[in-house]
Amino acid sequence: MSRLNDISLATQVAVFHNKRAFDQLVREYQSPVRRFFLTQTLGDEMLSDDLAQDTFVKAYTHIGQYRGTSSFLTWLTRIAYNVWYDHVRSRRPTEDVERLPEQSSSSSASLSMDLRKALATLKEDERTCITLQQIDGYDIKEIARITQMKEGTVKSHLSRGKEKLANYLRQNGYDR
Amino acid sequence: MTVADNGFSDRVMERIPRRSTRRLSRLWTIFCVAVAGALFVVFDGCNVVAQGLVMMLKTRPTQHGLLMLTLAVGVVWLLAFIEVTTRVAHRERLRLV
Repeated sequence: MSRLNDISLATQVAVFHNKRAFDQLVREYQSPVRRFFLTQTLGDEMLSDDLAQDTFVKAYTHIGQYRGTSSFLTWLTRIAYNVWYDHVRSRRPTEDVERLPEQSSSSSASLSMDLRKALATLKEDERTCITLQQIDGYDIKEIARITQMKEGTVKSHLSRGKEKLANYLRQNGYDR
Repeated sequence: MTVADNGFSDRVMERIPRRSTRRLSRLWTIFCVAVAGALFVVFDGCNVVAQGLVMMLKTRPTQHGLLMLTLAVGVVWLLAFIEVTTRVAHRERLRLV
């Protein structure tokens, strides 16, 4: 969807509270938003969907703040990041990131499981930066805009995160 | 990797808050327009506007510059007023939702 079309739909939602226009935006962007949460929650589908719903509800109530200076997806991802950040802060200390959702251990799923385990070794900020860059394809500037971090901080998170991932995978037999 | 919708969008649309203030806002707008229209009729607004226009046309061209400037300032002020009130109303709506 073009940025112009996104702006047009967002304006219809903001000015006329056009729910059909918002429905179009939800259908267009549900996949990247849910994928973002799936990687952050390390595959917890129920939690991901709950957080993704919160993100879209927040986007609806604050759509007047979308100015069109960035793409709608970037704006949405920023809300998603804030929702995730709030969730992490409110999470009880007993619920640790190390707790991975149960997955089938078939051989076809083993690589993705290993990647999830590798991602679980990262700190929240490192994982967010890594997934935004490697999975969602954002550049450093956009990641800084989404997470409200300085570009230098994003770079160091990326560098440390990649190093940790490489070490973990190397130790688990994924050596080049 | 694309995540299949599987009814997710419908669930989101069900959770979207209903804007109960929307109808109230419309009623308020209609009320304000009605009051403005009534005042315009009561105080013979047409006559006032016509007299103003005649005055403007009759005055010397040197005075037109000042008049135009006043008019321009008035228009800018009106636009700024509309923008500010729209933003305030929008924020108020968000607070109420």
